[in-house]
This record gives sequence, C-alpha cells and structure tokens, in this order.
Amino acid sequence: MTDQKSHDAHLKTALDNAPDDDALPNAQVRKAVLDYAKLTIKPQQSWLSRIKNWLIKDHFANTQWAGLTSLSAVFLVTILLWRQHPENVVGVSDVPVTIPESAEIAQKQPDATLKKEAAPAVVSSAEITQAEITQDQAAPADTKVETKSVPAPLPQAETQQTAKSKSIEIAQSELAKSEQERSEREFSRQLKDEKIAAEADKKSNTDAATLQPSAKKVAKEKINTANAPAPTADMPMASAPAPMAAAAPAIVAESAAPNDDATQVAPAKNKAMMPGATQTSSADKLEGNIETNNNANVDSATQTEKRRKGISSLATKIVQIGGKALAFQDIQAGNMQLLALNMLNSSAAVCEAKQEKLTEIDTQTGLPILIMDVCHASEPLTKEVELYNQTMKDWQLKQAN
Amino acid sequence: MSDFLSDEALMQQFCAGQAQAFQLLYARHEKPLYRYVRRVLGANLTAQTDEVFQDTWMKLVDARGGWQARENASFKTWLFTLAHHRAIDILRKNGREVSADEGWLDDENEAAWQHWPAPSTEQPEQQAFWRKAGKQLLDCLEGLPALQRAAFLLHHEDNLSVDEMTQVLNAEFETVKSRLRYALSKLRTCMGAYLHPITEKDAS
Repeated sequence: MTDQKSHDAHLKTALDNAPDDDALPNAQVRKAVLDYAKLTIKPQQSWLSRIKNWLIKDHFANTQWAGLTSLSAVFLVTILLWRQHPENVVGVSDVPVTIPESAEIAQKQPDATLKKEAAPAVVSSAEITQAEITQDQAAPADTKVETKSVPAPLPQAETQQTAKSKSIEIAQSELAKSEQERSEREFSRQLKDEKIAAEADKKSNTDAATLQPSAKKVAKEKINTANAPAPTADMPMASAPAPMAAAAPAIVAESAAPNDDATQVAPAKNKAMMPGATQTSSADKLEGNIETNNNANVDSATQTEKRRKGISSLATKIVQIGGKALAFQDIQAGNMQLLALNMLNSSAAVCEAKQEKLTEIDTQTGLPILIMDVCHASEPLTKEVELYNQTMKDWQLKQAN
Repeated sequence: MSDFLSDEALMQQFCAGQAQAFQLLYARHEKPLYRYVRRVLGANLTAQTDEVFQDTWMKLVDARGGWQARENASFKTWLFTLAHHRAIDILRKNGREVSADEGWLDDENEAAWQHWPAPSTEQPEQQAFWRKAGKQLLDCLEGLPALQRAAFLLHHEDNLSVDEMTQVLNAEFETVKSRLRYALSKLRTCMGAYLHPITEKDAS
C-alpha cells in the first residue's frame, strides 16, 4: 500500500469538516505550557559557571570539591612563589651581579658603556660581563656589543668565578696598558726636553765668549750653591741639588719601568750637565766649565728639574694639583683606580727601589688599587690620596646609581 | 524571529535558551496536536484532552536536552510520539481497548465512495454535506481500536508518512500499513452506511 493509495480524499475532507476541527486547548493550559517553557530556560551561563555547576551538581561531592579547590590554590601559590624567586625569573640573570668588577672596564670604554646602558634592562649581568670580556679581548673601545647574542648559560658558581677572574685579568691588563701609555707620553716629553736642552747647549757655546764678568760671577755662585751636599738621605739621588730637593716632595714615588728606562736613555751629554756629574770636578774645572757653559747649565738645571718632576709624576702630581683634581683627570681619562701608600724603610737603598703595584681590587667598589711605595708619607700626601680615593668612590657610586 | 525557520531550527534555538522559539513552535503545532489528542482519546475522555496536551508539551520542554542528540529526527514526529504515548497511557488507565483488533476487512465497500460527491467544499451545499460527513466520521472513529484510529488520524489529519508513523506508533512498517488499511476499510463501511440514504435520495 503506497501512501497515495492509503490516503482517502473523501475521508480526509470529512475529517477536515468535522465539528471539532477548530478545537483549541484552554487558555490556562496554553499559559501554563508557555510559562513552564520560560521558567525552564535560565539566562545563559558563562562557561565557567557551567563547569562549576557540572562539577558541583553532577560529579563532585562537597568534600571532593573542597579538596580540589585547596589543591588548585596550593598549586597557584607555588607557581607564584616560583615565579617571584629571582633565580627563576625569566630574563633576569642566572648569575649573581658582577657589575662592580666590570664597571671599571666599562668606564674606560665610554662608547661601549653607552651602548650597554641602552640595552634592555632584562639583559643579565652575566651577559654584560661576557660581552665585556669578548669586547676587551678582541676589539677596540668603540666595538659594538651584541647584547642579543646571549651565550649559553654556564653553571652558576662556575660562571661567577670565571667572570670574576676574567674581570680581574682584564682590569690588570687595562691598567698596565694605561700605565704604559702614560710612561710613553712622559718619555716622549723627556725626549723633547732633551732636544731643547741640546739646542740650548749649542746656543750657549756660541754665546760664551760674549759673557760679561758680572754674569760669570752670578753663575759661579749659583753653581756652587747647587753643588752643596744634599740635606737629607731621603733624596732618591744623593747628588740632587738643594733647590730641586725643595721643589720635589719628600717622597720617592715613581711610575714603573718605562720611566726608569727613560732615565737610562738620557744622553751622556745631559748627564754631564747634571749637577751630580759636576760635583766630582775640581773648582778650577768647574770654573772653566762655568765660564763656557754658564747659561746652558742654568737652562739644563731647570729642564732636569722638570724632568724629575715628571718622573715622580704620581706622588708629585697628587700633591701639586690635589687629590680631587687628579681623580677627576683620571676619571676623564678613564683611568679608574684607588691609591694606597706603602711605607718603605727609610734607608736610601730601599727607597730607590721605587715602584707602583697593581695587586689588589677594592671589594667595596671593585676598583683596582694602585699601591705606591713611599719612603716618607707626608701629611699633605696622605690627605690628597684620601681625597683622590674619596672622589673616585663618589663617582663610582654615582655611576652605579 | 522568522516564521520561515523549520521546526528543527526553532527547537535548536529553544535548546540554546531562546524562549521565543518555543512560542513559535507551540503556535504552529497547538491546534493539530490538540485535535489529534482529542480524537485519539475519543468523546468519552475529552475532558482529559487538556491534561494530555499539557503533559505532552511539558515533557517536550523537559526532554529538550535529549533532542540535540537526534540529528535526523523530525520535530513533528517527536511531538506526536510523545502525545501518542501519553494518550495511550490515559486510555489504558481508563480501561479502554487499545489493542489493534484487526476485525474484518471489506474491500468491496470502496465501491460505495463512487457515489459520494467530490471532496470539495466550494459550494454551500457541499459544505453542509461534508460537515455532516465529518460528524459521522467522528462517530465512526469511536468504533475503531485506538491504534487503528491513531494510524488513520496521523496519516490523514497530520499527513505523516508510513515511515514516520512507525516511529510514532513504535511499530513495524507492515504493522502500521495493516492498521491503516483496516482503519480505512472500517471507516468506509461506516461512512457508506451514512452515505447510503443520501445517495438514494439523490437518485430519486
């Protein structure tokens, strides 16, 4: 029986015209049904509240829910604490800060320092130290520091120790380099002085014949007073003339080997003109010499005095220009260091073994300490050294802030 | 909300929490469902039509979560299934015969339909005829077993196919066809008896 065959049109028409065709339910029934449908539809819940309802109603008893809640709270707190621990913070160093040791190097290289300061704050100190190390070893001051190329992190203690020792090495080598540069400058200055002196000799030879007797007398007196014995045994050169001893401080402090070399390189001609050399000659000889080289000796004496001042530069300088001023000069030159005085035995033999050493690093500031051997530490010197150190420390602190 | 949305789409919206979708569904199916329930229950249980009707809709509202699981289900079939089961329950509670008594099958009665006027209500005389025929049909339906009655009503009144009727009546295809055939035969016989005097009158 198909649907069409089973469908009777006559019965259908009769059914459609049946008296109950327009029958409808009671209005109350209609209202009840519609109200019921509205009541069962609650406002749409968020996915969170649906999950909550699902958990509470269907799947979890109260105790289970409480347990789950406390577990998740503990988990959350653990995560928060773990995140707050400095060693676990992403982007912060895995290695303790080693800035004080590397700061000295950074300040010696202003370009590099500026670039590092512009780098993001999240770059770890280990990265900076590493960058400094590679930069100092391989490149000049204005080499760009690639802070993005982060090296693979080493184990904490190992990295720290390596970075520290490298920083010390670099600091020492930098200091030696700057000392060498300084001594080279001084040496070239001495050479200039010697040239000037040589020119003056030539001039004096030509002018000797025209010297007047009164001038000869004055020169003779000057030379005699210059040849007088030294007043103290502290003098580095026992034959130093009295005026020079008065001008120089009563300390023997000398910058390292290059300056000694400079004194060795000094030509014999100049040595002959030095007062020490003239001391051994007889009065007649002196007189003759004076007569011929009077003006030249006066000029060369001042030149030698200047040279001596240059040789004992650091101790002399600090007394002459003041500790604070010298510290500022060194800061400008990028020569960051602290000074310390090492009292030597006051005997002349030991005091002649004058030296400046760079052996220690100040734990507070991380700056290298330059130890100056002195035979006698005068009050002004001590004061100026203190001023120098204080200025350095203040500047270092300001930079660190 | 558009009236052109299918029943299924509206039901989906109702399941998603839109009460207005349910109002549209109710408006579409209120009258046919009520009529079906009323006719299946019969004249003796008309008073319980409202109850069955209301229970059907409420059950639909409660069971809306289960609706989403059915993909190819027709809303109308589902609605009439719920109503049918509830009506059969009421009939059983009231001691009415619901078994499909096959009874007799007289295919020769179909010849009587040839004397009936065409199934049209355009003219006022025809309207009066079919109104009386409709009343007679309701009386004839009272004499049918409930399952045959339900099969006839679902097929003729609510235009469900035999396939759909198998779902509503929860019976095999052949069973449904058989019930429908018996229902038609009995109704034609019943209606032929009503028609006979009219046709004789028209002939004279």
